[in-house]
Amino acid sequence: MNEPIVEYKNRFEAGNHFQDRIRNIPLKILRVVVNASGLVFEGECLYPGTYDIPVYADRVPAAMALVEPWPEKVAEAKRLFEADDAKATATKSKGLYLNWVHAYRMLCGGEEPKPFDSCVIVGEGPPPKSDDEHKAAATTQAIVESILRTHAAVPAADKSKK
Amino acid sequence: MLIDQAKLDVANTLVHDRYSSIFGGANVGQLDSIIDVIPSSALNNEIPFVQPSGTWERWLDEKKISHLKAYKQTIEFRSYHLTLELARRELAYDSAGVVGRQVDKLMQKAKADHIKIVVDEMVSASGAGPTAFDAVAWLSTAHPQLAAAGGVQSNKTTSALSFTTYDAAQQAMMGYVGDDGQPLGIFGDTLIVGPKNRKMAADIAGPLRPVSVQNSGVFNEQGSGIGGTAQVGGIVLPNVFQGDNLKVIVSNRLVGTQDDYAYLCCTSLADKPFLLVEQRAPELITMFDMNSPSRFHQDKFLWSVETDCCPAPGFPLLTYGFIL
Repeated sequence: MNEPIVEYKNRFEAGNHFQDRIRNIPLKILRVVVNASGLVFEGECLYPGTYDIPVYADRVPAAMALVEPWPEKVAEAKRLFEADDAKATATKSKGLYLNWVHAYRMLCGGEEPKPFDSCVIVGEGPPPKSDDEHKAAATTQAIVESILRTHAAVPAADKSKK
Repeated sequence: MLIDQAKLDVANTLVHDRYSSIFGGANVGQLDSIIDVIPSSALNNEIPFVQPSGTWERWLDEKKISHLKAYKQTIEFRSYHLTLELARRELAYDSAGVVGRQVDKLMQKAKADHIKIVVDEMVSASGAGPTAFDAVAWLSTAHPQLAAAGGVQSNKTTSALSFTTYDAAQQAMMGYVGDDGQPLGIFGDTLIVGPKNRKMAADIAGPLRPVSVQNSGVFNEQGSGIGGTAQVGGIVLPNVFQGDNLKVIVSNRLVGTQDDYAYLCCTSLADKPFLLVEQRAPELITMFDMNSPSRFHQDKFLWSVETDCCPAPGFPLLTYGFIL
């Protein structure tokens, strides 16, 4: 099992023990076409649509593994299920398939459909930051958020006193 | 000391009493809150899952009737056992009471390991788990709820647990809809991790997040670890999630291949993330008699804790899995 790779964008993770491993890994911009709701990919919650996502180069294979290998089977499975469902409704009997994913599994030897319709590298991300840049960014962000929270909390407290 | 049947009977009674006290109460230990134990007396079980197919509508014309869309999950029949054998001479010439303690240990172990039956099933199929009622794996990127629209919903990520992925997973769970297209009201309230992710889980669930400061003035530099040589102090920042009232369960079964696995579960609804259909609760069966076959042929006594039960996925969208 590989060490998990955790992205930088979270201030809490700046400087954690995963950082050394990814410090010099470049970013790639992936254009993904998503067909599933609620897919958490590299820290983003994705819904059906097209996204450009910066991904560390060594996570690109993980993204590619989520691409649907047989799009024509998806269409076929949906067609099969709809026909079967219509027939079952008309005859008030139990259909062959629970849903189109069930039909897809029957067609593809138990495999489940994948959440990406496509995934291509459309460009290079920004170059890796130096250690100092990371530390400076993390420090600034932590201070700013702390100040924001403190100041956001003060007026509410004052109001309650009056 | 000679062994006679009367003494064996006394010993057997003591063992059974001890068993009852250890196994008293039907629970599966640490993961109790995410598991629905369903008592059953049938060989094959079908568990129905029901979702309404309609919602509130403005009444303008004749009412459109919504119906319950029923799914069924078939549960297979399985038996599990944990068995100990003991040579008669060890028992007969045991003056220190060691054997009694070993038998006791067997039963403690049977109790503690009961959860293994469920965890083994949860982490099966490379972490995806067994097939749920919707015909895909328990953790899948293609749950076909809202199938009418041809859509799928994901409850699995290959990213590691972190603040960012935790937040994204909660966002995904709150976005789950049923067949009627309405929100299911799911919110993760229990986070199950292995020892490797214990610190991360505690950070996520805690209301405050300690950030150490190095003598270079840099926050959170953990190169030398908490209390390391370069450590000069720490400040406390509010956790942006304020802990989410999250309950953290650290399971020491999530190790090795599964050490990065984490499960964010919703336990507040009527359905539960996982089921355990139990035809026969764990029961102690013994061959503890001078005339029993194993004693007669091999001069051994046997103790076995047996159960008929089968773990199965509950409503799958109640769990978000970090499987990598």
